[in-house]
Amino acid sequence: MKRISIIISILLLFATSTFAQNSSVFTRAGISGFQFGYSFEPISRVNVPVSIGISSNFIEKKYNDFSVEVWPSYQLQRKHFRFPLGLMAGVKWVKTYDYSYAVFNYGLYSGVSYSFGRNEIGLNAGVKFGKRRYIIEKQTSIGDISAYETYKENPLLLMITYSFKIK
Amino acid sequence: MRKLLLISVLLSAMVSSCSKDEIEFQNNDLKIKIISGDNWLHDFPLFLGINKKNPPQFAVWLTDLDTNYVGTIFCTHKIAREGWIANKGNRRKEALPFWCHNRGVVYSDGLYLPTKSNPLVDGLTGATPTGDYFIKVSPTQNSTYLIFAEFNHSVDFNSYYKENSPQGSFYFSGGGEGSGQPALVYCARIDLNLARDYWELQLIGHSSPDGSNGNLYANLNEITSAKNIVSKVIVERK
Repeated sequence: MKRISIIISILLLFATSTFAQNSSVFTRAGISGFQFGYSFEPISRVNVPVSIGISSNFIEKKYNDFSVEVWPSYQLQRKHFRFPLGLMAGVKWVKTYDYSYAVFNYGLYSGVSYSFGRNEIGLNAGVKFGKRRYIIEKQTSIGDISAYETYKENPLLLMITYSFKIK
Repeated sequence: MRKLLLISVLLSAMVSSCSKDEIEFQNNDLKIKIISGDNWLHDFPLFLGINKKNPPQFAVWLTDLDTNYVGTIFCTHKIAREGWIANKGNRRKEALPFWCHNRGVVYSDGLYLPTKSNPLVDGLTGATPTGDYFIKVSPTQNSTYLIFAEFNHSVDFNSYYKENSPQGSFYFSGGGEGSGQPALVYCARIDLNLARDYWELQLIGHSSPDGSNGNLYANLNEITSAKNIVSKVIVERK
């Protein structure tokens, strides 16, 4: 699944660059993890960042997550400042102690960014949801044992973004 | 057209990631049901007066009729893998001492608690559920066992097990971030050779308040809210 997601994201990046009005590469980091990606503006004032990255869940202490996310937003602009109001949705591959599984997550976010030349720095904050119930199993001397476990997404989204305009 | 194709590929990846598996029971499988009580979730203080609702730590295991350890069915992550957050090196030996001592594995620091580098491997481990829970066991042989379950909340102090009970006193449970009321132990005798398909575990006592030994204490008069951590623990045979 991880390989498929990498292929999908690369395809998305190449395909979208052909019809984008403005496009940037970006990297961002925060309590939701570390990501890098590509954003484009298919129509004026609408920005669509597509990111791949490593995310983390500090509440559940689960790491080594790998995510592919889309963060479309409507952007209000005033001089050098932009104020996005957007949605995010993505798939995250979570690896816990013994298990690996995919979680669909989605959320809302807003923020502010400041551009200077081809550079832009922004701060995004919002909420994120995602939940997945899966089976945990073990073979022991007593017999085979199984139960459910539930993964919950860290609900708080807070990230600092740096973008560099390429088109 | 290209846009549509890309969107459909992305959506199909998302939908396929959301498929759910279900646990299926077969003849003779055991279903261990843990039915949460009113105090399943307990306030754990974080900082600045902010509390987090924490579920209890627990373990379920089997012994023979002489209480010799047979094997762990389930144990929560924090105990099984030393997964405590900001515990400042405190291994929380008061959490589930009856299970730890009954299991009888001594680790390099002299405690009976699994460590991060040497976690529990002989049983299922999982995050503590926030409510009712069940575990399926497909037993390898029909035999007679004692099934035990031990539950504990940290910092559920009461008028007997106080936060400031002095070290060395019977009521000392690990200090300010300690256990509070000790872990409670439930038990039932299950004979899988009988044509019986329902057993309910009974509360039989509490563990060592400070986790220093594996004794069982039958006096439950000084236990208050901890009696309502679980409502019932049931074993059903399918």
